[in-house]
Amino acid sequence: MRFNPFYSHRFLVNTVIALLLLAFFLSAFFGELKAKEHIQWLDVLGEGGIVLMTLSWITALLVSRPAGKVTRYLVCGLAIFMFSATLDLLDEWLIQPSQLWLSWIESLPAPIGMLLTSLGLYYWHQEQYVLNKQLRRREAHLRQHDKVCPITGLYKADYLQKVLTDQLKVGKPVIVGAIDVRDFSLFNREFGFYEGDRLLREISELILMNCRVGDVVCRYAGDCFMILMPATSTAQGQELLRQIKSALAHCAFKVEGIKKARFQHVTTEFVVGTPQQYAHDITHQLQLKLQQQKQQRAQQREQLC
Amino acid sequence: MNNYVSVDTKYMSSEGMITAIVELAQSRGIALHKLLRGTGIFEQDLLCFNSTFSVSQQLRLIKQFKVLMEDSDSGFLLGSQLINDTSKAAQTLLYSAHLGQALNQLNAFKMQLSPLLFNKTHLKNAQYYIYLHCGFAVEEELYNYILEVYAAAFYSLLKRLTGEYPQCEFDFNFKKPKHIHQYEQHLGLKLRFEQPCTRWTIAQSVLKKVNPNASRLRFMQVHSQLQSTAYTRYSFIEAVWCFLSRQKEAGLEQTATAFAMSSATFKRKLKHHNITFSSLVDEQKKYQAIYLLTLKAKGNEQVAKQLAFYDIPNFRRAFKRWTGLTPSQIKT
Repeated sequence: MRFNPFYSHRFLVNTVIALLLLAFFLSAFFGELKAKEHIQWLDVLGEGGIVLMTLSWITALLVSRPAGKVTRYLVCGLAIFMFSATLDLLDEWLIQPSQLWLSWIESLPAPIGMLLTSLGLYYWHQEQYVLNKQLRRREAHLRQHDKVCPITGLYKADYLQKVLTDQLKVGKPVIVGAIDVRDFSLFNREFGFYEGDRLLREISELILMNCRVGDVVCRYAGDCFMILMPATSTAQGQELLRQIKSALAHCAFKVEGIKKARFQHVTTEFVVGTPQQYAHDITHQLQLKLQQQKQQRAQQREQLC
Repeated sequence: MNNYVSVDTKYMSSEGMITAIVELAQSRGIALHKLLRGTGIFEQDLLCFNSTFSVSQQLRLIKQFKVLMEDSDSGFLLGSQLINDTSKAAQTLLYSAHLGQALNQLNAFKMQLSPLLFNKTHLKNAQYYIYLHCGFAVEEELYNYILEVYAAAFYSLLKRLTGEYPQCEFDFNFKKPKHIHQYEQHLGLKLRFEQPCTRWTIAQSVLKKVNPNASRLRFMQVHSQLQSTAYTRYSFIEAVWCFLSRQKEAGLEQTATAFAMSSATFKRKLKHHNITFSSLVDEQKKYQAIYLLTLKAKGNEQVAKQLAFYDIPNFRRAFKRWTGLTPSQIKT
């Protein structure tokens, strides 16, 4: 989700603009224009660059962060720093009569801004600690935002592959479980992709809820989820999958505009990974097992008919 | 011979691919104007039943869709959505008595249902082989994506018409993609990459499996409604391809005459379709050679003769150039 700065951060945007204008007016009011040949263009380039960079950082912050204490400190700090930098830049064109307080204005705000930014960063560190706690079971030791599935917010297959490889390299045995939603394409066909995506999102929440703290849940592909269970016995893994299966079977999903609730049935499988194996072999084996189960079920259904 | 469709001929309705793309993109929150940008398709065209679209418009839309959807499963989603189409042509497929009949229908209405590919099928040793070829030349990345879409559609159709998970072998001529897990999830595990030809194989017995949703009456109704409308059967490239497979020794001049064009016009037309005459000849001969060598188990000499090669070494060299393999390697 991106934020519209003019909507979510109106106060901060106004502050930044006000500080910029203030810098202009102060210099324009007290300064006198320099002769053209005295202007040092290299300085203009360097100092202008600092102002522009700071401005771009502020924009990035405002667009990507929700309102709150951390955002406020970071933006205010940077804005004050930028105020100093702007005065510095304008000095290249305007000579300030050696008034003491203007040079005070020019140099004093920068450290204050830095101080505020540092404070903001400290709060950000605390915030991150809380967020990391929230992300548990979604994420192992690695963070790669480009590998997150936009629909469920879980990591995608290549992340699982990577974490699994790391786990195997360390030599720890690991159990990988797979959960495949039965007849998901039928659901999509009946209720449309919007509801289908919503169902996937809800299922992923429910799977997360049923996992332990050290497990990592990924959306593997389509309607197939995989769970990485480190340091787990076969019986424990089986039990966990059984719990997830029954949780989903009892979860009454409400399709929009339809009165009757839908219950999800899933096919589960697991594989015990040993350190000699490659990550892809393990997931391949899981897929094979899942497909065999599906085919068996289809055959049984046919025999019943 | 003149009953073909060029890349810019506006002939198809928005049913099928175009509707599926728009629907899917909208459900993922992609704005319609963004999706249609640069495709030459306008919002009001989609609502008006009489408007027709060209293959180049469809291709541009697919390209735009691929970029905007970002996720690596978009092709597979699109493919499985294609068989939920409500057009008459698609309905004859879904009401068919069995898969065999449905595939016949698919071939008959391919310019409506899957204009971007055409196929050649063969039966051998109770296996049904479908060789796929590109009906309109596109750049490689887009072509791979299109194959992904149609492979997913084909497998969904297979599942729908048999009511189970039949085995289907998918051979692709491109190299193993990064999102291989999506292929395994949506197409099953019988996948091979970097093959000389794109070929899908199913057991012959699957063709005759009774379709659980079959309805003879509805099939006949839709079928008779379709009979009254004239349908174009070939893309321009397929038409040339078919001519070349009949006239093995035909050169540019002769082919152009058969299409009632001067060779310069003919060349220009091919160029407009992103392909050259010699590459089309090569592609056609490559397929013929593979077919004769593998399915017909012919010797090098016979194949060289049938494909109008001067001698065997010439044929071997050409074959190596097309596939990277020698004729004897492909037989094993």
